[in-house]
Amino acid sequence: MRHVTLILRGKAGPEELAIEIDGSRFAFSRGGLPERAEATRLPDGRISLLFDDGRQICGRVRPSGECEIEVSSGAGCRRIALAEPLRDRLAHEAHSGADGAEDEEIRALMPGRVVEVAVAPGDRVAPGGLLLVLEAMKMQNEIRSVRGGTVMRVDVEPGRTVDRGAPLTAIRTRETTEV
Amino acid sequence: MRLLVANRGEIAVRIFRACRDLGIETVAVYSDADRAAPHVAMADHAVRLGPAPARESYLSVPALLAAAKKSSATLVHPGYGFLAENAAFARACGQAGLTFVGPTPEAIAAMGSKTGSRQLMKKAGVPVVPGMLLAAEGHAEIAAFAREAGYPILLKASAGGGGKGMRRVDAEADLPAAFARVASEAEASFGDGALYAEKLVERPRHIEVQVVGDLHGNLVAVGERECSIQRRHQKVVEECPSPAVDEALRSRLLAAALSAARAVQYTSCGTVEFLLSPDGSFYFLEMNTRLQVEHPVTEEVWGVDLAAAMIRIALGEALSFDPARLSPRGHAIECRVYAEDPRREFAPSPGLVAALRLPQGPGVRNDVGVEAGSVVPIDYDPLLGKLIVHGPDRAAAIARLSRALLEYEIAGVETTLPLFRVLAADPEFARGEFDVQWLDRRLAEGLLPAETPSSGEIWLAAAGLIGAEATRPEAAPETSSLWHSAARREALRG
Repeated sequence: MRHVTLILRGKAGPEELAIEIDGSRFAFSRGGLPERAEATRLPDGRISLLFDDGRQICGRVRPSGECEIEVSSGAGCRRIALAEPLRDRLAHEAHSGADGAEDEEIRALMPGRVVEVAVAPGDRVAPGGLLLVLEAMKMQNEIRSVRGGTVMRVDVEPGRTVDRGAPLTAIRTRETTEV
Repeated sequence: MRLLVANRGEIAVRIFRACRDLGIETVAVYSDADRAAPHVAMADHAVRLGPAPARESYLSVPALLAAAKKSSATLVHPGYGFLAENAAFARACGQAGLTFVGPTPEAIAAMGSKTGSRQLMKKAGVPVVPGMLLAAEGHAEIAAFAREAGYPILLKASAGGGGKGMRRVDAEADLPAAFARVASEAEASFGDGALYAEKLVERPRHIEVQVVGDLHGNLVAVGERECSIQRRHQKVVEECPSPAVDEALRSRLLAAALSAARAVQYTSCGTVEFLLSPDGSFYFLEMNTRLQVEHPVTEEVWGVDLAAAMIRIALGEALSFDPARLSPRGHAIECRVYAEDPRREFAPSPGLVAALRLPQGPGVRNDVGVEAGSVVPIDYDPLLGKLIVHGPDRAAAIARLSRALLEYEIAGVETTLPLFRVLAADPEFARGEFDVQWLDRRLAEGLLPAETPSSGEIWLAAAGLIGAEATRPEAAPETSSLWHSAARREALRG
């Protein structure tokens, strides 16, 4: 049994999807009761979902962007902004990078365990520089600074288990005296 | 016997099928962008024309004539677009000893000049829209016409066609800029910047009549087509018959179309286009001296093969059918599937067709020029193919259209399919209440709803992203995730 959290970005903003996987069986939930389904890969590459209530939906799924999935089914071809939380955060931060924010606060977007801390307070970090590595969803995810700057503080150490939303580190991206 | 199609895409495929029905060998020509295109792969012979740009390939008369010689073709079919309505090409084919599958160069030339054809039609007693009979020397001459006829007017390229080189002008103040724009468009598209103007008929329908003539003096009209669903003067959906045409109007339209075709002694498949005003009057618009993109809707309803008929006529055979003895059956609708993004102002969407699943079943026909894995080149018209549905009546045809669209899958490039899904469910479309500006008005009002994925689609995306689905036993094992991550991701043991 695996638990996976994905971030869906719709018009109403980011939304967390909780998914439980057991072999080919999925339990999907968007806040409410989970919808349970069995997933099968068809010979032509499409995926068929058979829900426990008998509904079946079939479509082709391909990545179509950094945090975007293209789903083509009988209803048409749709782009769905869906990504793993860390990837979503990196992409989202990068998008809001021009808004003049001075601090880059890095928080855990899902529960996990810190496996590596690559910086210490006072370090200069280049844009895209590695900050720490967080293990979640059985994956190791590199967390990098989007804009770069000076490390203000580090809130965790290797081996620490963190909850979703826990602060990890903070980067000052612009000196206050320059403003 | 061997026939060369001086074209590409779905129309080349369509004509090759007609050739095979008639036992004629097929010759494809291709540019460097099309070596792997389906029309080449299905042909018996193929000849390279040149680099991707149309000017150096599909529009190059010397390259096409050389290809015909090299492949020992005896017939040349121009398809539509490219050189289909180029009298010089038709003449050059004849001079090279090739049979041009189309009308005479004289008929092409006579109908190719918008102003010349209008004069000809006036003489033949075919109603024409009030307008200038000669190309204007400059915008001042057009302003003088417009003061008399009244705005709005339509500025048109004399050498134009296919909806290109046209612009509505509502006031004299807008005229100089519009004139310059259309003249430069016309120069770029047709190599001829000559313009004229005509009175704009408000809210007309576009109705056209299929005519077929042979070399023995037979000339018939095979019903009408409704082509009012247009986006910026480009046809998007066509039907046969028109929901706006009753028997009395039909007989008047068909008689006018036959007069038009007779005026140029027409000897092939052709189409006479009319503007139908809401008051029931109609005006000659132009005659397309070629096989029309939307010919399949006529074929489905009338049970004729226009592409094959065109070839047989060129070979000197007498017309094999008489519409008076045919019974048109039911209703047909064609949707032009373009690689254009309807949510981004119909911007062209070239690229790789990652997946293609065509609808099937009763009343469904696909004329398609691409396949899964095809790359849609940036160099040509973005028409991928046409979905044609046929049913016992219009409502049944629309129901079959909805059904077919549920099965239609194209991934990788954006297409006009979302537009057709909306149209198939639209009450005004269902009632047949539209004119040539209807689609533009509806699009401006936001005809296409915002894309809100269903929860089913979201879960499909999630399942694909996570990639833990069961693989069917007979299928090859695949990588567990579709997501190719650039970041370091390591599956942990246990």
